[in-house]
Amino acid sequence: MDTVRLSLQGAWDLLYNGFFVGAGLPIIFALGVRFLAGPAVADGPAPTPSIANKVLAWVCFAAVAFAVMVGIMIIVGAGLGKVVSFEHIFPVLVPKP
Amino acid sequence: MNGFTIICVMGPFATIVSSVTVALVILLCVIGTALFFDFTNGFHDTGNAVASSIATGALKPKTAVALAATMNLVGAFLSVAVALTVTNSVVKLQADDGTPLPQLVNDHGHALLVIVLAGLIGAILWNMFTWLLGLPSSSSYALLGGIIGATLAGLGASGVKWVGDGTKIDGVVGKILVPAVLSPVIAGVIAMVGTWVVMKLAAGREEQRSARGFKWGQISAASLVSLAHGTNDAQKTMGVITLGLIAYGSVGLEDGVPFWVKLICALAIAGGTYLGGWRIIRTLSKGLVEITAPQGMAADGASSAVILAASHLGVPLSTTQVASGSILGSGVGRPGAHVRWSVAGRMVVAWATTLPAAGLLGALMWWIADLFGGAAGPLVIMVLLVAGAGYMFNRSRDHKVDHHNVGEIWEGAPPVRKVK
Repeated sequence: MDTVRLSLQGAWDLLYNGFFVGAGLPIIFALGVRFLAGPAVADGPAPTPSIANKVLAWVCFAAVAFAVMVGIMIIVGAGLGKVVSFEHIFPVLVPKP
Repeated sequence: MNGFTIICVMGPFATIVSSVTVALVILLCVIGTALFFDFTNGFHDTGNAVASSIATGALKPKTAVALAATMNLVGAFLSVAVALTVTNSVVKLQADDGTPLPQLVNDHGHALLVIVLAGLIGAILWNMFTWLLGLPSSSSYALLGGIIGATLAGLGASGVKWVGDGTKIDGVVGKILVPAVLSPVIAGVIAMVGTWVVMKLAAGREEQRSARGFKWGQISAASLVSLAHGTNDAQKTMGVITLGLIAYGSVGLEDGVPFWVKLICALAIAGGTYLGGWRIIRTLSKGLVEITAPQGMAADGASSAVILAASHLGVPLSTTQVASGSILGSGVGRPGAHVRWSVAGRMVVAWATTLPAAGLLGALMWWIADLFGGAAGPLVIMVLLVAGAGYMFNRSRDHKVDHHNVGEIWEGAPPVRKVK
């Protein structure tokens, strides 16, 4: 029964962690797109987004890109027997504890 | 297929020579079959990463499979972390460090090689069958199922690790049964919530910029899924081939996975991916639910997050089931989307039957190989593999699905019989 308990624990960790990344990042990205794309206009050319909107949009995209980079580090790190550490805020690969 | 032809020609001679040559013939069969499996693994799973990008037109079908193939090729070189212990979670063929059990490596590993060969053939036949039906079933569970079945036949029930020792997630229950049920649900829930919010944010915005933004989001997420797939799946075949080489005695455990093994496995999975399992891509991109760009991005985002989080947490799962679960969940989450539950139902049946069916085929292959014995047994099951795979390939040509018609309006699953 320990196996089932451990598996359920793993599943919960997966849901909990996956939720923030898997739903959160697409939402942040969609927010970025929303800053760039203004409300739909009936006809005529679409208005260009303001500087402020552009900046906000790129902050969103940068956040997502950063998370994707960490994701790739996790994959590469796993192959090298390392894990990603956030101890110094900026992620670095460290040997597996 | 040339390798198989050479082996078949060699067959009659091999039966009358020493056990070294017999084992060598079987080893060559194992390597060829493992690569063939890797190739089917590639085309069976292309859809996981690219289905939604193809559905929304973010990528042209050919561009999508080329991107997925490239990312798989790169991914295959990134990790061999679990390669050498690939069978350990479900069967007892290897010691904890990956060394094949001593009682299985007499006669240059004859006993172990036959079990692995039978398991691989069972896995390929099941993968080809589900591909023919256009069903996204798990290639990893097919491989493990085939090997479990062949082990059951060869060593009996005690050769299979049903549950772990309770200290970590292990055994058939912990590594396959529980994740197989839960992981698609988890991915589905995440994709559902993600899609719902993303659709709210995307609603009523100016079309051109919005479409361009989501297109890039989708391509990035799809690339990440492909990369993770190459990393996870290619090393399973690398592990099987290396296990065969160790059992035969041509490499030691300390040598790890030889570079040429990494290279051919990477090329096989990338080649399979580039071929594109169009029948399965069609089911995932058109069959389950019509996919819009923001929804596709949310689905791919959920898939990549769950796959990466799982490898980070050490929770095993099937890329295919996660990706299918995400697409299904994204359909539930998008207001107004029409999910085809009958297609989803067929898919779930394929998920539930993959392990026992591949296992049964693996066991059957082992019994046939055992019946003939020597080098003849393995060659007979190789002939069965070529015949079975050839037959299913032929059947698929009656109703061909390729990059030209993959995006047509869904009027049902690809029929496998010729309409009279």
